[in-house]
Amino acid sequence: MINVRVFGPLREMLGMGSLRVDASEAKTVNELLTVISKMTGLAKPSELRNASIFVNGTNIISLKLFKTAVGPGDEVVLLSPIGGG
Amino acid sequence: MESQYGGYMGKVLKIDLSSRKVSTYPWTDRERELYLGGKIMAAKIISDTVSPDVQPFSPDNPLVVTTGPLTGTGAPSSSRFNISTLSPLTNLLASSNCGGNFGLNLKKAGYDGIVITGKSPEPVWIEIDDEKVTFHDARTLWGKTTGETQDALPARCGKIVIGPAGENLVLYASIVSQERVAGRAGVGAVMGSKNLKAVTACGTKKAVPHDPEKAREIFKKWAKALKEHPLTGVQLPELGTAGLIAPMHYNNILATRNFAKGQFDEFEAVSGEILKERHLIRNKGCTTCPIQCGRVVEVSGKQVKGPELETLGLLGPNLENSNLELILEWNYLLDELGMDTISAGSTIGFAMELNEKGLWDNGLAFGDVENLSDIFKQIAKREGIGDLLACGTKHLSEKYGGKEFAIHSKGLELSAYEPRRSVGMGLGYATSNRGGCHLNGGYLVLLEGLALNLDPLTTNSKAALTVLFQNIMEAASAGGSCLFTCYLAMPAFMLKNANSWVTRTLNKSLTCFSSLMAVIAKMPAWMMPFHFPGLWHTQALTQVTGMKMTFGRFKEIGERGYNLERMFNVKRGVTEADDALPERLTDKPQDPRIPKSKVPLESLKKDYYNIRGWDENGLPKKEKLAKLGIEGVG
Repeated sequence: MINVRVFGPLREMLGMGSLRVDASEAKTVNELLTVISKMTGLAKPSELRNASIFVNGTNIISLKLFKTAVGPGDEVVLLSPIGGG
Repeated sequence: MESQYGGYMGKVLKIDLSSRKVSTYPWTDRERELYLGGKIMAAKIISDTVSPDVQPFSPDNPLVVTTGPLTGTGAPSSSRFNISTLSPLTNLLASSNCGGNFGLNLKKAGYDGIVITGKSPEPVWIEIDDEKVTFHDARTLWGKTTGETQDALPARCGKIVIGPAGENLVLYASIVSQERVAGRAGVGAVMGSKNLKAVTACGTKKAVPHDPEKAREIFKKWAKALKEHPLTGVQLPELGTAGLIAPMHYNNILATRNFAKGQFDEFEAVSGEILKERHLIRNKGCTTCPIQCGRVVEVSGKQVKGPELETLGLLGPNLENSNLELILEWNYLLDELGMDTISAGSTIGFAMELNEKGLWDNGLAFGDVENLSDIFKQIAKREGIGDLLACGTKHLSEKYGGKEFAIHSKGLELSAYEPRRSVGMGLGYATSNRGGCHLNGGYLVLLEGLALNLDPLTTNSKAALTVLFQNIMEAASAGGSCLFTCYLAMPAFMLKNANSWVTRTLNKSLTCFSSLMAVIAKMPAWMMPFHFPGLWHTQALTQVTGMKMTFGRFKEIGERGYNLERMFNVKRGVTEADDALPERLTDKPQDPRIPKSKVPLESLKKDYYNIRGWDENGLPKKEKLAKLGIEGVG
């Protein structure tokens, strides 16, 4: 299973803070986002693609972006850009 | 002394508590043009009136409360006011900003600011009502909490009050107005040293913009932009500043275990998401603010202000504490006692590590936090170990050692951002005039992983961006705006499309073209005769004051303020060596596998001084001061 955690306004949109996706259904971040979109039915894949996405603690912009591989036991985190003080 | 400029009341009140003499502090339109208001105005007044030998608890140390020209005009997010003085923590210039109702009411009373000097022989509170000043006996208020004190004062007035911590000279005591707090650098202790328990202000006057109709139009557009922006219109209203906890954890910048780490395994328990799901009653915010980033929660059956990010971070992960209910309780307690939650949390974290390393047997331990309510009360009363904890991290490190992990800069404890994975923020902490403050430091962490994704470990462009952001935020604060209004300068399309090639390219270009960024940071005012997209302050200030406020002039006012404060600190002995961080942050990589995960402070400082027009010792050059028109200051 791939463990997905969601924070920020996206959590509100999806109505959940975490979900588990069968690793056989998604080999890349791109596929994973499509699965999440279908599972929840509350966000389009394009909306999820705009999040800050971390795979096992590393931002996908430092990896292979949406082609970043995901597999069993991986943790994928979806965050929103944020500011505060 | 009236002003030709709109937005101002045209008068600054001067009160000497020793003689009870009330007069007007001379403040001219030329000074309004150069220093605008707020913290820069206060810096000028302090610079002109305080000699280098004055100590923070001397009656000669003024407590200067100032507003900006936007305050009270209806401009969005502009109910802010500033309190400046000599800090007992840093012995340097302190400025602390607050969003309560005092600034608005001070202007209604007819004043842009107050300069309070001297010391009352007995506890006193001051009432300012339509320019009339009355001194009241405060002996019955002495010892009361900030809430009890505010309840005992006239309901119709704006108030600033101190609690027991200020009375007992806790070096990081705060000043409270409604539920908002001027928390940093010990301004409450200075108020306490004057035996001044409270000041109230009310009146019937109105701050009138130069062009009321055009000002109203700008305010409307500005408020709409704030409501539509991803940060100020979605994220901050939805989760408050507490929403930063999770992104900080994943970006390795969440101060944990006295800044030994940047991640806390149990971060979610103290996150904004859990705060919202389990405790949020409703949002709340400052008057005139469309953002409403404040939280209302319940503590002991009472609806009170919820914790901000800094409080959650420094009383949570920094102490290895994942008990959110305790943080809610402490947040309320510390506000009632009148004590800065940042310095309190950081000092306790340092004391825990001193104990762990056998340097000070104080009974405090990471994760063992059940008795901290009692410790905070001891600090406020200066009893037991509370008497030493009341002096802050720097003083403890001088007494017990551990300077390499004493997390402060210039004596002020750092905020909750661990800077080894945000090196620009590290530079900001070290160069901030009031000491280790993220906002006064330029808040580069916003660009280094939170809102944008600039490489957080590269030094490229970081000095230039720090200078630029410090200057802009300095000017925004002086105008009377909440610094969150500056976020509109972050293009919404970049925030909404974090992974698009356009955003990634822009992120990269900001650090690739380091020389260009330096040129922009140094660019004189006349070369920037325009309004910068998203920085609505310049358009609003133009219509409110009648001054032609371009982006260049605005940035230059901020630069003038930063240099003025620096010169004041230099005259009190600050050198390049004081622009420092503890060795833990500059010498020890946060992740041993990533050698660059530390703050390369010396090289950053070199670039920073160069862009600022300061010499290698961190002293502003004469020509720089001359260009800013402050060569003779002080």
